[in-house]
Amino acid sequence: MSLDLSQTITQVRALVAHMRGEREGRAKRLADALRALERADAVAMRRRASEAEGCVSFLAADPLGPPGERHATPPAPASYSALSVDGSHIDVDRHLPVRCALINLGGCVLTYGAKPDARFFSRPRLYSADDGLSLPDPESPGDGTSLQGALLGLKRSVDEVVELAARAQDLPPDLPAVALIDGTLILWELGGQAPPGGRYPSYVREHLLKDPKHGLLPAFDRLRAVAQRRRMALASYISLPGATEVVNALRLALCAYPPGDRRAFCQHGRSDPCPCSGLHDFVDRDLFGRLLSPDERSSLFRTRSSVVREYGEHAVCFFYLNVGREIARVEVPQWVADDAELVGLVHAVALDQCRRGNGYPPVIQEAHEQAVISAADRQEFRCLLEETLEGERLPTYTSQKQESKRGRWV
Amino acid sequence: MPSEPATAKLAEVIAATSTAFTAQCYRLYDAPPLGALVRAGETSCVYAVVGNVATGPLDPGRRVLPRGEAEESEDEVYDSNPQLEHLLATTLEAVIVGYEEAGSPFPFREGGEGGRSVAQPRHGLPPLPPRVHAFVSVCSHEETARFAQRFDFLRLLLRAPLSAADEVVAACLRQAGAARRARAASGGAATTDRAYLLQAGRFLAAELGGDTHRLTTLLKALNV
Repeated sequence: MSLDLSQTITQVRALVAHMRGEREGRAKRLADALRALERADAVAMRRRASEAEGCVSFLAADPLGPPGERHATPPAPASYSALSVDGSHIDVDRHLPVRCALINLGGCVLTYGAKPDARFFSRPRLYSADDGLSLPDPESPGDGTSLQGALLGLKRSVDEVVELAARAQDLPPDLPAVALIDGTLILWELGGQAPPGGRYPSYVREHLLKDPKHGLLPAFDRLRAVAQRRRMALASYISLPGATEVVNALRLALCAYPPGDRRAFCQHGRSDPCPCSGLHDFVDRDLFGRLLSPDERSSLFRTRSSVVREYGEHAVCFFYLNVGREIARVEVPQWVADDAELVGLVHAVALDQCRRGNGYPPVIQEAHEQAVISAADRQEFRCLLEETLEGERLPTYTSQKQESKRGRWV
Repeated sequence: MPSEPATAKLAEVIAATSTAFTAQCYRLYDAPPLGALVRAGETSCVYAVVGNVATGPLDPGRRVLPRGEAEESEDEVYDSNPQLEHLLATTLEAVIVGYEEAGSPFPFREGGEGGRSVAQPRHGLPPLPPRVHAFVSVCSHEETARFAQRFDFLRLLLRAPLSAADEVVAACLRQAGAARRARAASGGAATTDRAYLLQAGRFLAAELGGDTHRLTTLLKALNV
């Protein structure tokens, strides 16, 4: 065994002892934060978040209603369809004999009610040097950005929505439906300074966001078009969310200093007497775990992420949902958030799914099962590549490092 | 060639050896009963007796959880979780007991329905097991009655490594008796169920020799 657990346990015990010491103070700070959330005014919070933009490094969400409001669940429709698509990928690997990447999209449609049904699907797509592995720079022929690492992950996220839009066309037409994505609707990575060397080139952003066939926003448009023909909502589901956008908005609202002041927004840490300083180590789900009873959802909030500014009518809104065993975050595009009936459908269906799936939506779980590339699958893929190359009498190779990992000789 | 129209296929071979095969049913729980005579393969047909039926998760890494606490009936559990039909699978294990080869000269022939000459299936192990993906169907009454008019196939069944081989032998003979009765009802000559089972009992007595305990258990299971 390489990990020395006898040393680790000492460190774990010290960590837990520290947390135990913090528990009481933390509970009091959380109770204060909850009272502040219940008293907070949506308009004032939005104004404060707007004033603070550019002055703070964190993101604060805009509440679309009273931030401390709780919404009971509407009844779930007697019959409905749930659609989900998930993805998994094999990244470019220099230990492989061919430079390539693979994205596997899988998903399912589960229909409940009078005619229960389940349909599963999966679709692998191999990207090679000659076939899509590089996103070409339109202004510099011959140059491009390789689809690998974080960018391949982004491409996969976009592909999931593109596939979701395609599959949504075939949903049973007479039933309400929810198209669910695992995770977030926000391409966070396009908003920051990643990867090394700065933000992605503009043509990469253009491709990911706006390519008519493969881009995220046209796929959102196609989903919106389906929703205009029939009762369907688009949403994404985040289990155990780590976001702090509502906590941040509350910090801004509580801060005693004006935006731009060097002392503002608790940047001096916990010793700062400012009322907002007690919130620094909470995440949104801490607050909503105290606020919401089982089955209730929070008010709607809109993210202020810079990426989402390009989303237009698909601007991402979200609510928190107490599914009994945890607080989940559910994201919806603006056109769903604007339609109370669709918000109710998402709320009811997300809860019904969690009830059927022991706390997690089975439609997402099964989509994952269709998409996942297991360690055995990865090994099979490697063998398939090598055998196919050998069958064509083309050279195969791998690194000595890979050989040593495979052999594990003593 | 099958000597009569085959019944609908209901499973497909997923693993095979010289003595047994495993087949996965196309529909959950749609398996032939224990002891049923089945055939696998189109051109080279293999006969086998169902020795075990099992239902479980398709992916052995996924554990099945109870889901029916809030449901009123078992069917509602499946209606409320439509994915289960795709995540569970019913498989059957069959003991190979005979075969019939296309185009081969058979030692025995007898008059079939309408005076048509049909191949007499052999009892014993085929030269090769069925192919993986061979279609599996339940033998018709006519086919079962014809196959089981002799008892040599029981030797393979008695020695099969099954946890309850005697129960399988008894179930097989009871179904063969019922098949003969059904054939008799449709006009063919046949002995009664009881006479047939007595003949089977005499064969078992000769086969099992001094193992009176096993013989007694089997005869009790046959009700003779």
